Amino acid sequence: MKDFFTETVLLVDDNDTDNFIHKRIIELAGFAKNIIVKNSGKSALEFLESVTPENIPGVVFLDINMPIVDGFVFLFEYDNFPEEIKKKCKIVILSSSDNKKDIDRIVDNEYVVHFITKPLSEESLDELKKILKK
Amino acid sequence: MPFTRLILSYNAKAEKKIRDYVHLGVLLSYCLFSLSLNLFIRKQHLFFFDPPQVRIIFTVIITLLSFLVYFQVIRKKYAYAIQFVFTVFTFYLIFLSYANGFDSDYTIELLIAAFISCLFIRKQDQLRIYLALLVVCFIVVNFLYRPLIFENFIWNCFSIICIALGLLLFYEYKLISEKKFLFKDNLFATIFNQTSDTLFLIEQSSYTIMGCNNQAGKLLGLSNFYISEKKLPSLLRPSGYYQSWETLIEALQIKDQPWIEIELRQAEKNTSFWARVSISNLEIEGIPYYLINIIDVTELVSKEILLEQNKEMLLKVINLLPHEIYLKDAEGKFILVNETVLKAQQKTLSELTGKTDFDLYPHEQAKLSKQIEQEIIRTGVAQVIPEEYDYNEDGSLSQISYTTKIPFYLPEKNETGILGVHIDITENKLAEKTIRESEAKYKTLLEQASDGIYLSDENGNIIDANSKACEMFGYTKEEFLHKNIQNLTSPELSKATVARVTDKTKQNLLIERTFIKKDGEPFTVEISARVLENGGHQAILRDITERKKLEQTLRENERKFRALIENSSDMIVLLDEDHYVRYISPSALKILSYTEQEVLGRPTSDIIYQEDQPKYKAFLENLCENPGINYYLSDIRVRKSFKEQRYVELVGVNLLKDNVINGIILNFHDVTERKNTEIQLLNTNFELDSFVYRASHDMKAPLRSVMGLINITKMESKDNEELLQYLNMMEVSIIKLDNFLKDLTSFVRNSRLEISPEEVNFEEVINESLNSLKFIENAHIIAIVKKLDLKFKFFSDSGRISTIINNLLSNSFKYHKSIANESYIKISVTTNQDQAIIVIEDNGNGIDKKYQNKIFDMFYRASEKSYGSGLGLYIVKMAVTKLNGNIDLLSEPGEKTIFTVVLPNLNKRD
Repeated sequence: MKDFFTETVLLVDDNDTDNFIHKRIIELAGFAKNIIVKNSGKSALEFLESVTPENIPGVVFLDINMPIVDGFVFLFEYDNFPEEIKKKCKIVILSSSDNKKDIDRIVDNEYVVHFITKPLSEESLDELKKILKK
Repeated sequence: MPFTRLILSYNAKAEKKIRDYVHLGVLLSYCLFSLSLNLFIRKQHLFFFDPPQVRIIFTVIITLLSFLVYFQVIRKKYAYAIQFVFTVFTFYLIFLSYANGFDSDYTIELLIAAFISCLFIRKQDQLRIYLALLVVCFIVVNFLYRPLIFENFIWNCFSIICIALGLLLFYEYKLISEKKFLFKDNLFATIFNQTSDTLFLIEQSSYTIMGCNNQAGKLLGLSNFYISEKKLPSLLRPSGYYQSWETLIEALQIKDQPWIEIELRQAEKNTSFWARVSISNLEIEGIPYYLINIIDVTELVSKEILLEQNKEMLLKVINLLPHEIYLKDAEGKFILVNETVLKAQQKTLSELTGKTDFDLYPHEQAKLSKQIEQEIIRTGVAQVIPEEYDYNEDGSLSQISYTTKIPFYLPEKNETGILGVHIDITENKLAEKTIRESEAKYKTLLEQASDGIYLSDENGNIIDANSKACEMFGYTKEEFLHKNIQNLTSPELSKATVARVTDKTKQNLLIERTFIKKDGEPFTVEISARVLENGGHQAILRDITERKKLEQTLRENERKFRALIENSSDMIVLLDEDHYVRYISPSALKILSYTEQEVLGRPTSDIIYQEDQPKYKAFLENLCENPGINYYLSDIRVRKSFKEQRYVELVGVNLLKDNVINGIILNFHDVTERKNTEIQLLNTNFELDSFVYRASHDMKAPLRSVMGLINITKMESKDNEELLQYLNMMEVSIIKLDNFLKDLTSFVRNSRLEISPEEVNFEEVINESLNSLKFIENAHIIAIVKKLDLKFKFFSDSGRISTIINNLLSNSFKYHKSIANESYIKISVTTNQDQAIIVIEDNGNGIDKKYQNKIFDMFYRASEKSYGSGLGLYIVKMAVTKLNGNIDLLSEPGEKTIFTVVLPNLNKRD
């Protein structure tokens, strides 16, 4: 069975350390070729608004706890994006929270496909691959 | 039949008359014959002494007398005169016979004259004297004759005596038979005419009246002369049932009875009368006759009719009487009873006649009755039985009667019977009994009445009183009966009371009065008095001292409660059935800053905050539907003077059906302060929660970053054994810190957050937990045995259950001996309607007995191998307690540990 592979992933996290770690893990795991990092919800939304079709990320790793535009706001705004983007983009929540309420609340969103507790690891990426393959 | 013959010889007198006329005729013709014989024949014998002058004189006298007799219709004195004259003439003839020498001519004439003379003599004595004189005279005259020839003399005497004797014999027989006949004739005639019966003799063929008596004439008002020879039906005929004499006669013959009573109609007068008619057949000289005997019984009949009517009326009266009246003969058999008896016995007269008491009543009773009756008959004295008890066949009392029995002579039986009258007094007796009973009851009632009752005369003197009244006044009954009611009231009131009580215009009176007891203590009574006809009065006294006290207490209580209500901080509102305010407590007005006028009579919804009105409305509806039940409504805001709002708690009860309250009571409790505090507390909690959340997150985030960095470092320096070892140690420390933070967060959440029940998916919870624990050292060699029996849906707080299971499993993993193929963790969950039982068993290190009661303490670590925070089991315990559950521990050190958690199913509370 062919492994899941996507050209571009988008990392959205206000913590640059985390962004670095996640980028490195994704690189090491060979999850994606092109990794775009945005350190705020707002810049991520701006990126998605102006994205070219070939640059539309296959997976968006989204942190919840962010200043101003947090994960929830991001998802709310994301709802207004054109279908072609929404169709391609699979949103994966990547959060340090293990609060079940938070998780339930966000996983209920139709665009969210998975929830991963930080830190991102090779195992969790493998698991994600399995989910995305479906 | 002599009687019939008598009637036929009714004309005997007329016959006698005719005979008398014949006698006269014979006499006259004799006189004329002898005269003419003397005048014309004896002239030739001139030597005979026979002067014609004498004969002429005699003849004239007799003729004259005969005429007189005829015209005077046979008068006895003339008859006697003729007889006398003729007797004298016979004696003259004896002289002539002497004078002429007893010539045969004169002797023959003498004999003829004597014969004729004897015809007139009516009596035997006269006849005998006459004949004897005649014989003596003739013998004397013959003796005196000269020359006396003895032979001639004897011969003449003998002849004359023989002739006289012959005459005497002849006439004597004739006289006797005539006398007999006359006697009968007179007798029958008298009977025939003098009888009160009316007699008709009629010819059978023509119904012609051949004879009748004087009575017949009187009856018909006609003369007998007129009646005879008439046809009877033209004068008198039966009327009514028998229309003619023929039918009547026929009927009489058929009936074979001597007489019949019928109504007869007089044809001429056109009147009718009642008569008893008897008819007999008789035959005289070959002609058949009917002798009809009629007795006028009009009076008798009318009397009889009257008697019948009287009898009938009497019978009706007797029958009408409600009393039983009966007549019994000496043997006690009923002869006559009235209808009341028949009705009572339910028998007909014919059924009852001849019966005795023994046929109608029980033996004992009949025997007793018989004894009494026999005594009455024997003594002839009437008896009265004031109470005679009659019993039914089953022995129950049927009636009580007042019985009078008198001896009664029964003429037709010639014996004394019993006339009895039963007067049914059952009802009277029962009524009497009832009256006696009710009187007794009344007495009892009077005596047992809880009210005092007395009776006084017009002056207020007490005549009668019941014991309660005496008790009320403190007197004995004897003492009380000598008192005057005026003296028992307080002096200033007495006159007024008595005046009012004795005021006849007021029949009934109900007043309150104070009386003085014997010991001087006053007491208040309520008097219900009634003025009686005689000016006295009857009064019922009710001691209302207690009631007064009660009223006082009630008033005080009311004041107390009013004070309570009015001074209560709670607002008390009374609503009428349309939910308008009827009463509002002053405290409410104070709290709400309304005036009473602003609220009274207005709907309460006015003061309820707009947003809470639906809730309030539903609450009121609920109240109205369920009277008598308390309802509670919390957190309702009321408007305070249309500006400020107050939180209230509301308790309401519907007492519309309660006669006293007749409304809905609402109790508003001001909870504004508490509500504010609550809100404040919520805010504080929220802040704390946020803080904990943020703090844990903010602490976690860097930790996770560090862990991520460690991961990368490990991945990038796989060859450096030493470095990897350090990195691993760093990782362990960070995980420890992370777990602690996790514990801390769950602890705070458990204590702060409310339970939010939802369906618990145990399988998912356990799997998640196992998943998060799989990275623990040696975790993979421990066998996991899951046994889930989840037939019932279980509702509880998933988060807390997750925390519990997570912590327990985590301990099981942590403190395991980790021997391959031996170590196990058994997880079993069983749910049912009421609860869920979670059992987590492992064959790990176990817990020492001495620590077992401490392991749930905060920050307690029972194992030296422990690398936890000491919060895990504490949090478990807290969570279990929060969920109203139970946790039990069963542990053998070095053998096994079994945690059993029992949690209630919260589905019912939803």
